[in-house]
Amino acid sequence: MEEDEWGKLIENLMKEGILQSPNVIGALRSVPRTTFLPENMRSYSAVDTPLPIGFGQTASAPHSFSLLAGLGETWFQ
Amino acid sequence: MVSIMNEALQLEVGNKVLEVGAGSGWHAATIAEIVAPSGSERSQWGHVYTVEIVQGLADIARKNIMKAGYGDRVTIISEDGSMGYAEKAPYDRVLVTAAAPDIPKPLIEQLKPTGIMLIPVGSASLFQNLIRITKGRDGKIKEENLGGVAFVPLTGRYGQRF
Repeated sequence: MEEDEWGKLIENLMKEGILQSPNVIGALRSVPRTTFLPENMRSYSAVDTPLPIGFGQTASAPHSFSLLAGLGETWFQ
Repeated sequence: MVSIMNEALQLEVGNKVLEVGAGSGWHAATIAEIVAPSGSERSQWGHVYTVEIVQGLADIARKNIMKAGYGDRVTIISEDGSMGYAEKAPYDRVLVTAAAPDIPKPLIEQLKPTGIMLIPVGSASLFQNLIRITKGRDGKIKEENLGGVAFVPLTGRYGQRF
């Protein structure tokens, strides 16, 4: 279920043109964010928003990371 | 306005990457999957060094990285990342995941010729500009502004002053 939601999020980022390069897409598929979240945040893993990880810090929103790591990504300003 | 940020960090298999700000470790694991793909020849693998100033977060990131199976491709260092990590320099790629007031000098020094660095630069409270630094073969630095971003503040010696 969670993996499906993660897959759907990736599809959406691809449709929006935020994710384009095959190596970034493949890496995101291999490394879902959920493993890296505190337990109470895991159900939000596939929501495209930053999530608290404690110590006043956040895990990046998937679209932000896609843009940073990305190749040929669309950048909105 | 929509523009194309073409090949922002240009990660390639075999790259040695420095990340400043490990957070939960998710970035580092994902970058590791790009520079050292699972199932590829280990001798071709790159490596990710990620520096985290918050000790508690570094511990969590380390645990997460092990759990996700990237302990052999990611090293988490609990130090002041605004100083970079000179021990393993120079790096092919440097990614700073927190907003710096200026580009920290040690990070430029630790970038390999032909290397690329991405860093959000600007004030802590508002938006910043995502700056891409490219170091030429001759060591010359090129700066490009890729546009507005919003990151948490970089702390440490070269971090934000409050």
